[in-house]
Amino acid sequence: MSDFDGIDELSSDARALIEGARGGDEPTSADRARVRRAVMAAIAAGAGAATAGAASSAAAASGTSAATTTTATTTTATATTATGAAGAAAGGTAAASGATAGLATSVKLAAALMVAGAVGGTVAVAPWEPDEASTSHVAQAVEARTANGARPAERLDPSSPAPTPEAAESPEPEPARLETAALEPAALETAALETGEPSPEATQPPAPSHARRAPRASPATVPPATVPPATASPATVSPAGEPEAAEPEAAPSASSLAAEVALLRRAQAAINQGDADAALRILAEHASQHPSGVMAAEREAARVVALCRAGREAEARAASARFLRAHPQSPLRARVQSACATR
Amino acid sequence: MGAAAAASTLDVKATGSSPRSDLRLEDVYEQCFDFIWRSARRMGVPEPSVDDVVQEVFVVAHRRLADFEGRSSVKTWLFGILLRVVSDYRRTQRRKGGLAPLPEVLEDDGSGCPAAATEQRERVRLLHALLAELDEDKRAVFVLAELEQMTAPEMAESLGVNLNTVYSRLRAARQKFEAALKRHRAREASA
Repeated sequence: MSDFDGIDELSSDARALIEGARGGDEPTSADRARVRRAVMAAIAAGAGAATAGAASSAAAASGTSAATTTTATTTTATATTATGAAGAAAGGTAAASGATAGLATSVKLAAALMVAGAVGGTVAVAPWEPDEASTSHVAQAVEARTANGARPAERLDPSSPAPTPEAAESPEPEPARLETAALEPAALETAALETGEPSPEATQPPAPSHARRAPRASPATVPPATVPPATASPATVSPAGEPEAAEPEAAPSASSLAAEVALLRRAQAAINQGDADAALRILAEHASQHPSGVMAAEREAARVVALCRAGREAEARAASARFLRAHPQSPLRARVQSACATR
Repeated sequence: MGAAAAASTLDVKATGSSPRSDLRLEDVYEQCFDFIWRSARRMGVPEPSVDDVVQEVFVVAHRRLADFEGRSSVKTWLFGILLRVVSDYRRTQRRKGGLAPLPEVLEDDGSGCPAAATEQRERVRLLHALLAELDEDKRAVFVLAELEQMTAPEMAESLGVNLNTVYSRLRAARQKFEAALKRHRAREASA
């Protein structure tokens, strides 16, 4: 303030008001965690989520956070085994709350990657971790990123509400960043999913089996005892006390989430191969096995796309209307709305 | 930054020898979330939209991390992004019909909060109402100078204007703020 004391100093009344009100706009830790999830979801889902707004993506993220928590724990374990202790040690220094919240979201993020592919037909995604968490010693991740990161991110967000000249000048988001990141195991995991993503023949993708393997790998992060993911998860996510994350009741097991993801990936692969009927069969399978699964909204969104591709436009319209009614805030909304148009 | 420059940066990063490779969105978020959040509030983003606006700031920041030149602090850089997001937000609101609502008037919540807390909220509400009387440019300078204690050169950087402009905006902002406060006090007294 001393910097400006020369110019028409404020009255003591004004000064007192400012001092008195200064602390009043601070966010709570719940705000911090909620927006973090939203940011990650938006980055993961690309254009759709970015314009859909925080509330919706936060809702999407928190809706599954209980489930993702479970897998996030185990994902770390798997990835840690893969990357080795170096990454884990580096990660360990990061703020616990930030790191765990990030990891928790990363699985949903991976799921979002998949759905972005399934619904959009392309992978237009620039997830947080791959950008953030590349390190020289995670060669695999770096490769995945250099291969995939740049272009998807370029497509990230044509409709973003904040276009800027600078952004236009350099559309390449420089996917590879070096650091010792807490998130790097997750990045590896996400990268793995991502690489599998565009290839249509990935009907038996590595990711789900990865996730399914995860529970057994969990001792890697929790050395002495095999901590059941379900009990470990509530503690792992956001000690900051987010109400959503503290609700383990809806938390499906890691394997059921993995199974859901596997089914949706197969459906996506079928869509990519132009076999919309097969996709619809797989989606029906998902619907019967996981009627209220974590990925139910994603399934319905993918179904709209598949119906469009199958030429069943009337049904697609009906399904689309149902989806939009049921998920008015969904980040997938835009994609569902334009599904038939972009066929 | 041209495509060639971007590509070479990428190479540097991929080989692990970049000297300036430590800026991660995660860190930016940790360091600046609170600042961006409260600044969004003070720039007049109504409560229900703060999430959206703050989210967008970090999504844009993520996209443009590579552009960050290190000339300014991350904080001033982000504030610049915030201003653009807020102004886009306002444009959208106008298009949707009607201006964005001013900072919500504090209703009596009747919760029997301790008087001190109520008083504090009352002050915050008044501060927001007074800030709302400043136009965007003055408001930004006022917020940064008076509430964030940012220096004039930092503000010039953040806002992309020269020092003289910063000073003249701050002078004008202070006068307007004082005038608005006086009016408020007068209304209070007559009520």
